[in-house]
Amino acid sequence: MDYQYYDDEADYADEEDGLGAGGGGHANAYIDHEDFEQLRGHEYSDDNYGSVMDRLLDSYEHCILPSLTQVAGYIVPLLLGCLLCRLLSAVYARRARLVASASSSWQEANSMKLAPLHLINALCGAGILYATLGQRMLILQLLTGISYALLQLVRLGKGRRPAVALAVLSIGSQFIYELAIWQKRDDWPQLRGLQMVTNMKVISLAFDLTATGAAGLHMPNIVAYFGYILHPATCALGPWLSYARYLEVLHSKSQLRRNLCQMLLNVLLSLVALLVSNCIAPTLSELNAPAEPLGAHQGGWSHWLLMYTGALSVRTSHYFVSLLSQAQLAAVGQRLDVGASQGLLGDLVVRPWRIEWPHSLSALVRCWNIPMHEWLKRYVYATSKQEQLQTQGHAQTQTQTQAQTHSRHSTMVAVFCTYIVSSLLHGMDFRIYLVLLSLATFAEGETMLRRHLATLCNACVTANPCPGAERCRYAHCPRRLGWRSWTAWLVRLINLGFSLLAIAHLAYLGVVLLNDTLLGDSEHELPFMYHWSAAGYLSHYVGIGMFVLYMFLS
Amino acid sequence: MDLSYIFIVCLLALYSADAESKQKSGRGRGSMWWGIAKVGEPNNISPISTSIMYMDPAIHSTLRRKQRRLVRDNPGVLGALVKGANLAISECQHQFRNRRWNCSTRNFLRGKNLFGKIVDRGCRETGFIYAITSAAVTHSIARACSEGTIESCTCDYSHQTRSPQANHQAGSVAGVRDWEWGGCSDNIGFGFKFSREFVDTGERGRNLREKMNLHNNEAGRAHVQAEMRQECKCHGMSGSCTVKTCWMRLANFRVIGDNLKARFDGATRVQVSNSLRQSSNAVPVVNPNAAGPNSVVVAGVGVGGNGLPPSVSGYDDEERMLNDHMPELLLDNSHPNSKQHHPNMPSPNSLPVAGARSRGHGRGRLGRKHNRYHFQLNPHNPEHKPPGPKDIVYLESSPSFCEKNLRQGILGTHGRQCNDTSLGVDGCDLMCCGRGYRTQEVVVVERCACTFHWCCEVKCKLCRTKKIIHTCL
Repeated sequence: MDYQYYDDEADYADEEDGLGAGGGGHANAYIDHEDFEQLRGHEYSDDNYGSVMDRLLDSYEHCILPSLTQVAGYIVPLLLGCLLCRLLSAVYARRARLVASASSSWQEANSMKLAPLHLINALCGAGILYATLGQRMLILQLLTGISYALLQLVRLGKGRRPAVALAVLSIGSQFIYELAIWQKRDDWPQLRGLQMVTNMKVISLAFDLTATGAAGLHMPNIVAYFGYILHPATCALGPWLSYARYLEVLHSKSQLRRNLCQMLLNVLLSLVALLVSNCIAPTLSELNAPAEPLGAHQGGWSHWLLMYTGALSVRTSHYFVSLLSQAQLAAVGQRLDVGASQGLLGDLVVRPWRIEWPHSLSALVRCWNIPMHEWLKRYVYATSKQEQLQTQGHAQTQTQTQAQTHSRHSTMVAVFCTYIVSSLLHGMDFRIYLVLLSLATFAEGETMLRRHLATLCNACVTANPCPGAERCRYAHCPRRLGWRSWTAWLVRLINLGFSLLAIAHLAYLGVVLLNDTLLGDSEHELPFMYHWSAAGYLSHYVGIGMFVLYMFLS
Repeated sequence: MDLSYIFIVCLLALYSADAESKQKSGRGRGSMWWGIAKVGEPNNISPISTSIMYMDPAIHSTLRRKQRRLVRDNPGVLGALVKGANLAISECQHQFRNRRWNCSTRNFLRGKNLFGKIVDRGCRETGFIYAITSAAVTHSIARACSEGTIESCTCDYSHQTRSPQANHQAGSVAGVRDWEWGGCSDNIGFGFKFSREFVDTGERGRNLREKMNLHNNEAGRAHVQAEMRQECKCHGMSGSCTVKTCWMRLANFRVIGDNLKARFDGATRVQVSNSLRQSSNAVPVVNPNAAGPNSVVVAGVGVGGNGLPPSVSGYDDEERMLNDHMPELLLDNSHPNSKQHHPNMPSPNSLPVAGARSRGHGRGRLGRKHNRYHFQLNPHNPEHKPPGPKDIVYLESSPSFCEKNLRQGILGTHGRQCNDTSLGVDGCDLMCCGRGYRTQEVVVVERCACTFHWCCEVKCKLCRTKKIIHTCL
């Protein structure tokens, strides 16, 4: 309060009328702030109730409209670039009489006949990047070029070694870039996601090349390489796409009308997700926490609601990006590696409904970013598991039970390896490390506890939902037992409990990422651990408690 | 139509010249525009239609010539001004509802000040009125800008341009740090400039009272600027920032009113200073981080070392915004002839016609206008700090506001309600100035037991309660 310098009371006390009667009280005419603070506090809580509609209108004017206009300016070049690429490649394919169904092999991909297609892809992708990034895309191109040079390493060695080396180099070099470009903090957060996708593509390419056995023979030439990396549907927002899949769909594109419908639907949904993320979720959390001082509602129900809405904003932001990339994929007519449901939305990058109502944490992780999950499964999980098996392979004289525990042990190690690589891929971001490693612990604990419970009770409560009435291995399977049996309800109840727990975990973990990468000057921003400490690190206790419980039971 | 328009304009010019000559005796010459709050109320003569609203006689009796020109040249601004003036009045009355002076306004009469004769004194209350009215105009103009109701200022998409030259210009015009990814803002820059042009018209800064008014007007605007928040959100692969959306958001005016009230409680009494700043450009160039052109109002020392607690000040925002004028200023120094980029001058983008005209007045006028905001007020008590850019200043002590005194425009506290348990100014002892109070019991019907229904509905019951009301004798 040192900025308030009070004048002498005489300044304000009566001097003209000279009313002596009240004179004694005048001394504190200007000093009784506390009273006013209280009065003001009351006033506010009333106002808050009155102005709910006002606030929604306010958020319409000041959030929804500007968000939509800005994002429209971003989306339009993306989709136009994709459609242009599709048009040009269709024209070329017709003129060069490429057979529609022939999926080209890796060696053919380098032929002169296909080079224009790669070129079209690369140019459209570069155009999209230029429209969205401006000059910064040059940095990205430089890094991509360096990656191509590194990729030549796989010609040298044999087996999987060079690919692993390349992965280490790519991820390591990303850290170096990050340190080098760290000074210009504005730039890097925008490029980081794209660099991550590029890295994933390069690493997958390296693993696939070594898997063919003759890496030098199948090595894509530089045009094909840039066509793959700058593929217009995946260069701006991801997701990862394997080289084989890229070649497969290079010139066999069909179902234009259906793809356009998918694209429009995806764009609409992504805009809805954007609005929820930008405007609606923050408004909801403001409504939940009306103008109270932040310390007042630590812990408790309202704080969890606050975390839920905060994490909702993070999740919907992710849906926005994923749905937009689905729209791009549909526009180009590109299929993904996990050709999941080819329904209304085309190939899926994310399954929002499975995330909003998860069966378990590990099921949720699988739906978060399906291509990325596939990538991790193929190149990290499988690799690390095989490596372990090879090292254990020497000791063949194990008993059956020992082998079983070993395999379970190796699974766990592989899972943690996967999470670590996944977090390293994200670059230097402490929050993401923390969130992903916590998530790994919670998910693994939950999975093992539920598997143990399932075998103990012979009930269908595993982390993966039971495949169906026929193939369910357990006796107590709600689908088989029908609606009458009380054990079915019990199983359902247990699964419901785990679902709710997963939702709470997700809110707890997601809220940390809320203020992530906001470049603004954060003077009234909370420290990012605030929400966790306010919740008393409850999720961590629960998550680790599950792990301990599992250890205790087994 | 054209002829009659010209005729009316001529007539008004004569008329206003007449009015101005009458007002010259009064001290609050620059404050007549407050009367605009009453435009459109039924006690005025002509019916209002938005297109010819600026021909309303009430406007001509309240606005000065330059203000009328601004209103005419920026269609749509009048509605925002009326809104702003009313906003200021209601906020002032809210803030002062528990005090002896409760910010009462008089019925609008031509040639009289809206807030009454209290404005003739240079006391704290007057300072608050000036600050809150200028803040309200800035606020409502900026809001109207972003809503698109003012034609001469759209949502300022100009700062999306990438070329450094255009960026530089647009950023400085908007007074807002420009973002890489563009966006739409409450155009605070336009509001700020317009408020300077419009509100400060009558205040030349030649005597102390005018300096006080200028300082308080600037303080009000500074509070609006400080409460503007840039909100951004990033979207991208796993928390990266591939797509970024930003928008500016002005705080609720209640927050600004609260801050100004806090400054009112800690207002600084000032006196004549003999160190009028001569070389005005020197400070910002030497010390660009500490002071932008309009914080030169105070000495450079006062800006940095103000010691404001962060919860109150939001000082970074302000500095950031003030610093946006810097490139212009530097440009100015390097090319002394290119005057049209001057921060205190309306730049072509923001105030199209008024700017063009006032530029025609030549260099002498420019110099004077430029220096208008460059002065240093010294505290009455030399041990106090000099007032900062956001502080409210005053010259003379306030009257007690106890007894009715029409000569000074004081209504007195007779018949005001008071709180018999409070020890503060709203308590009966202080409010009634020791005259005593009458207690009566009344039945009040009010909303009660309000519950919030998800989502977005508040349901209340009506309760009858007996209340004890104290009124001053």
